[in-house]
Amino acid sequence: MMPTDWSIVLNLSLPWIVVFAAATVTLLASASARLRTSPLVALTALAGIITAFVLSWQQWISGSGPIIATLAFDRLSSFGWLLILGIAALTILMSFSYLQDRHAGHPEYYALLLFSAIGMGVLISGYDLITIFIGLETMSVAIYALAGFFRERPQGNEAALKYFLTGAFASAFLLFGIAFLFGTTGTTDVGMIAAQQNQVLSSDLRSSFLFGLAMLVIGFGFKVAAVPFHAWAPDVYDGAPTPITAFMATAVKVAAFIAFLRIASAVLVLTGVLWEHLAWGLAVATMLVGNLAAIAQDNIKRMLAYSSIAHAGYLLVAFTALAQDPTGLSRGILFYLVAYLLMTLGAFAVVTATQETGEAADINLLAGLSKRRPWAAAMLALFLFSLTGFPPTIGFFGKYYLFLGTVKAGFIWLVVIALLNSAISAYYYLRPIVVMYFHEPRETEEKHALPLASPLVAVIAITAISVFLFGLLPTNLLAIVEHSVMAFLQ
Amino acid sequence: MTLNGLGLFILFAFALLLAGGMIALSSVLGRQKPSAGHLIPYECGIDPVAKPRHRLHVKFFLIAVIFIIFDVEVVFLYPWAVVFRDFVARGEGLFVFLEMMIFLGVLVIGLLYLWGRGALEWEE
Amino acid sequence: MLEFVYHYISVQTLVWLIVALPLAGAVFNGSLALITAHHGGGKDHHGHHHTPFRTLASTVGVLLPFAAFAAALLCFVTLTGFEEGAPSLITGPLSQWTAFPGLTIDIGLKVDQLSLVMALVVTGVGSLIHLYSIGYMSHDDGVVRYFAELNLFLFFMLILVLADNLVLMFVGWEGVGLCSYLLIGFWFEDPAKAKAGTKAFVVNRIGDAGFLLGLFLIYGVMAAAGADPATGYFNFETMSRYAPFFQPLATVIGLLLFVGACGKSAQIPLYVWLPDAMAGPTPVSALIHAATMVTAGVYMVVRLNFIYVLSPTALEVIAYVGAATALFAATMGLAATDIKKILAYSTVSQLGYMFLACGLGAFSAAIFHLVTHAFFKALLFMGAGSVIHALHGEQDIFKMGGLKPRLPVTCWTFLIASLALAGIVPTAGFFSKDAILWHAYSSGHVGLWLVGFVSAGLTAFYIFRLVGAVFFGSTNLPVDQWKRVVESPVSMLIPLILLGFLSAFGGLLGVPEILGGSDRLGEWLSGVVPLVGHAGGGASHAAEIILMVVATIWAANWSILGWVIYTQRRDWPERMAARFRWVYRLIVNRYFVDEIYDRLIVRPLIGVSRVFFWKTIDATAIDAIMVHGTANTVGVWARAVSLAQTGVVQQYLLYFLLGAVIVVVAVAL
Repeated sequence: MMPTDWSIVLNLSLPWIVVFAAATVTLLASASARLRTSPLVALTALAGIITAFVLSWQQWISGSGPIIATLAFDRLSSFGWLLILGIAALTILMSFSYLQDRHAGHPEYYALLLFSAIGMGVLISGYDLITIFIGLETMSVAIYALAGFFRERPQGNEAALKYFLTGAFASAFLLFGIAFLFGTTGTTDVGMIAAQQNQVLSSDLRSSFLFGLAMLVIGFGFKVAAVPFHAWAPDVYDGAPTPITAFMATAVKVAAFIAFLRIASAVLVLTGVLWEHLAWGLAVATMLVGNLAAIAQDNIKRMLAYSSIAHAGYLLVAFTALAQDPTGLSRGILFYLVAYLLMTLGAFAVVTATQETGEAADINLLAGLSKRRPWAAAMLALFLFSLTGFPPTIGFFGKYYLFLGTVKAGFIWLVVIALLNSAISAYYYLRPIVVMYFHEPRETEEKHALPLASPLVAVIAITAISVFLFGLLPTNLLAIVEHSVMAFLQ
Repeated sequence: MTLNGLGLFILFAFALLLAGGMIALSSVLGRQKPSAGHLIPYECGIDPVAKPRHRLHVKFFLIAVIFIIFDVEVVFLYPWAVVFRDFVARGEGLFVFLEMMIFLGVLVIGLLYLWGRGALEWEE
Repeated sequence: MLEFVYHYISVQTLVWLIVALPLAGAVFNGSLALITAHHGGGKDHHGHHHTPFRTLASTVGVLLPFAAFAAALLCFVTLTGFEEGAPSLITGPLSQWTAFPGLTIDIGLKVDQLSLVMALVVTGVGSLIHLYSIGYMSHDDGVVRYFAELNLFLFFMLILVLADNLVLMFVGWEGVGLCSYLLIGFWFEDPAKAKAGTKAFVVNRIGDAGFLLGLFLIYGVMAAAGADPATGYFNFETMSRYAPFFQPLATVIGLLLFVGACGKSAQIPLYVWLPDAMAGPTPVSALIHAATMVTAGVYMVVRLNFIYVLSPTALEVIAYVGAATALFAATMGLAATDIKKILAYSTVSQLGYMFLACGLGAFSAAIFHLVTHAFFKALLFMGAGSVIHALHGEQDIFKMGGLKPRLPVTCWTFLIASLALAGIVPTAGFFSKDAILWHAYSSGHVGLWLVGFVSAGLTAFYIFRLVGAVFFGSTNLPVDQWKRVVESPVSMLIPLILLGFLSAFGGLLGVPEILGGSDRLGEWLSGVVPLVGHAGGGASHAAEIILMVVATIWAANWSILGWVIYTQRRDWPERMAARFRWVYRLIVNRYFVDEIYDRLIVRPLIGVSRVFFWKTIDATAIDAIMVHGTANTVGVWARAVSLAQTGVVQQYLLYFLLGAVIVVVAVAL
């Protein structure tokens, strides 16, 4: 197991080491009474993230690396890691003013954020089920803590507890599945499982092996909030601090989906029709429940929670057809992930902005936002249009590439269902826009709001520009995604 | 459905049967004569002197959690120490040693944090 | 100096810069406008207009177009230096816009003889008009927004002319339309002006529909021809390589695209928006509605000449529409009294000439007239603007008169431009108009030639009517007001003088051979557009000279007549109007075309829309049944689904477990 060249390993894992170092420094700084209140802590965390981002970008440029021990250092990993770091950086920016406005500047917040990011990195790169599990747990435990970070808020505590209980439940399934796979194949290495798969499937271990795979799917289904393993999501998203909700809705999903993509394209697709039927059912259930339940929500955070469930459903649509055209669909899935994370982060950033110093997220509170904060309102409208899938936003091209590949693979009815669901989604995405622009605000509210904190403005600006720019010129992003996909499929 | 599927099914059925059976059997077989004396919590035959739902100071939990962390550390150290000599013999001693040091280092960082935050001080 | 520039900037970059510099100006001024919009302009306590950043916005807004012009000039110098006669540069795909299987659209610029001429005219005339705008808009609060929109217009116009594919050209096409709409309605507080902007926009939509249909057909042709999608179906190079495949559909495609050109270039029947477009600030009329945007249709036809030459029918239609427009608009110019409206009709008429040239296959003559027209018409508009500026907004020519001593520079430059418009030797307009008329005659289209000839006379008459009424004779202004009229500031006069030179001598680009010159522009463009082959020797050199002399005398005759009547015999026209009352009424009311459109198209459409589309389809079928029906159904389901979300974590785990059982049963058993 010992790698031959240390410097290679060190070099490849440098981004992680940087993030880990930043997390450690942040954590230790929080142990000092003097540094606890200093804004330097957030800056340290941000600096670590940005350094790691640059390093991984260089890694991506230099091409795909090898699979060393239990970690794959390919372009998919670099790409996923770039996404995670980007989200983390934006979340830190978003959190900065959020914490300041609420006079809650605990540096552990940033340390936990970074630790969870490292977990995601491991999850994305993991090429061994045990490593993947460790990554998943590292990520999750930090997020559990973050969800209930403000201990004085009962909703936060409720969110953390619910997330923890259901999460532990799901982890047990995952671990159970890993045990069965190990039992039937004698290995936890994804590549080796894939290599033995056909042999195992034709032997009398077939059922046990499939049972293990089913458990694996359930474990990941929980993390991406696929129906029926989704019920935690609305409550947790609602109760957690808004920037953390944004982080959960984007980073956790991206990490889980990329890891799932790796496993699915290596192992699951080989089961053929079986996987297609299962994913078909999951996708349809997830889309339907997500979209239908979102309509009934009056709280924008809960609405976005169901929306994120629905988007997981759209992604599962592509997973269904994965075996037919691995390259095209993986490309579509990655592109959609980028689109999804940009517009969701942006939407949550605006929600953070509209919450001022409170936690209320009732949609009716948006009334008159177009006058109070015309820019924020316009940007929220942009993100919601993008989530619905209107051109020329990135959301349109995301759906386009995703569904195009699925149609080509022959799943026409599935795409029809997905498109009907998109149509339903317009109903609840457009509602906040109507409220913002056409409803009169209540008398008690001020006409003019204070200027927004600049980090928050930066987050909204970055996401909005990306949503719009990639919507106009999607090909550059598509090329990057394509290169990322090519390597891991070979 | 193959024979294997059946095996899996039998496994689950057996687990369910065993767990459910025990509870069911005890309620069926056990003689139930509820009286005041039966319902008192059993404490070595002596009448309880305090409510069992006693509220403990949160510091006990904290200490317990910290203990578990370092307990796991020790548990991990033992097997490592046992096979360490073999690794040295194979010339991989440095690598394995450094790996363990990194592991310990991470825990030390945790300890430092706890120390700094005052988790180890019993008195306020 | 040039060496120094080339050392740092490649030619490709230069081409890019031509487009990017105005965009930078638009972005900069746009941001400024957004910032200042919050604080508001308004007046300070002395009552002075107070616009923050006025100087900054004007400086940036003017310097960047000039820089773009410099870049275009550098390109010109560089490219002509490289290769004698055929400068051409294609930047290639600078960026890929979209890539679908079967359709690739790149963003690339193409500099060849044709687009270079256009770019030079657009940036050159454009920057002069920008400069002029500083003075003209000096009392306006919206100057920052003004420069943002004007720079944006320049950007889109350059995209239009420099695009290397038809779709990117269409982007520019729509972009200039947008800017035109914004600038016509620049003073949107006045509902009439805002409405004029809307009218321009809506009428152009009709044309754009034709353009789009043409695009779709081109796609179909290219796909059927088996062209490689990766090279871009709409790329001009690719299209021209596949030109033979267009043969069967050339007429349809050509005419559909010409519908688009009719909208943009204000030809019959879609010209109605241009006179109303005069609601915008006068420099806007000069730049957009005279010199550049309205000529986009001509440019498009010339650019796609390889399709048009395949269809004599389409060319014939273009020629007749052009000639008809030239005559029709010229008659309307006779009766208009608003100085800008007269010039607007004149523009429509001159654009008709250009299309006439296109229709005759004399593409280079069309471009020649486009260029000279850009010079003298921009000058006419700016002169008119100078008059309006000096008279604080007065636009009725019969309330002016005798302004020559008060506005000497304006008057003389205006006169030069009028001579050019009338086509008097040796101004620019003479050569270009003569080239068109000669092509009409020599190719055997005597009827078309006659229409052009008559229109030329009318043109001479109405423009000198304007000159006589505004600058000469006795003044109709109150004497004390007349005395207070002062010449415009220098920044407005410099562009007038420069364009005066160009209007006077721009004709040297294409002096006919028999006058000892050579058609330089035609030779220059010969790499891009086909040289016109004349129908046999039906016309001799003698004929050409005779025609030229006749045309000049004809124009001069009408010019003098117009000038004399409106300088000294101002009661004549009224008597004439009284005698030919119905003709006069017809012309004054612009042949009732707006009213006819209203009765024939707009009102029936509104009627049908109200009863059928709105009440029946929209309100009942769509709104009541489909929209609310589905919404209610979905809403019921939504409530049902969200009932499952009880908040009790045990139930969540139950769902989880049930789901897990289903998954396991589905997969493992």
